[in-house]
Amino acid sequence: MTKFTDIHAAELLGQARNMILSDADFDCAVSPAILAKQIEALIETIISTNKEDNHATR
Amino acid sequence: MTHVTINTEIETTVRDWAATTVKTDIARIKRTDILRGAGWTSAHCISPKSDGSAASDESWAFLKATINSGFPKQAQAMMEMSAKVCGDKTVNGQTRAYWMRQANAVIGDIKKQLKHREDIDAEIASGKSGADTRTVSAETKVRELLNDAIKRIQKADEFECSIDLDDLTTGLANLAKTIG
Repeated sequence: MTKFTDIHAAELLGQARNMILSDADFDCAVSPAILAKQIEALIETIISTNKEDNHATR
Repeated sequence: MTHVTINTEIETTVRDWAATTVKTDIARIKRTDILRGAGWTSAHCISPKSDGSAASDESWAFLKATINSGFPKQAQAMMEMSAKVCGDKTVNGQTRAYWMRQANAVIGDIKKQLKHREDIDAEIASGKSGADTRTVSAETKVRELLNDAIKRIQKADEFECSIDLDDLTTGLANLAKTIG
């Protein structure tokens, strides 16, 4: 069994987001702030969705 | 603030921890150099049955057998058994599953060290980094984190997400492509 949850994914993506924001010269096609926001949105989607699911099943 | 004990035992523990960490790191650099000098790449640390592998059946068997030979004899014998035959036997207080995980962790560590150097080489070759660079750029690290998340989501048995997993991993892959 490979146990990889929404929390683990959020942690990895959170590290990526923080790294982008902490590097003033981060090189990407969109602006680093936008890229960080897009990653943040995915984190939010993963986490908040599961929270809703959890509430719904309680 | 909570109270902590500060005494000679704690001092020795922390000092030994620091010394071991540095010693391990230096040894890891040397070992990576030796493997690279002998032509080993991170792709040689992927099973020949999997995509992206550069391993032959022979090199893969050699790698696995050699890693196992670094474990205690009883643990090696345990790893040869099936999980059913082994039952709940332990070696040094650890189960068969623990020793199997350790073997995989060693392969993973070797692969990670080799890949790290390959990434640095690629950045130097592309002119992104200077010739004396010892660490990968933030761009490469972020790309690796995103790709790692993709792989682990795809491999996970029970990853729950309301949006389609293919959409999620495709979205992450598209973000990774915009970097660098």
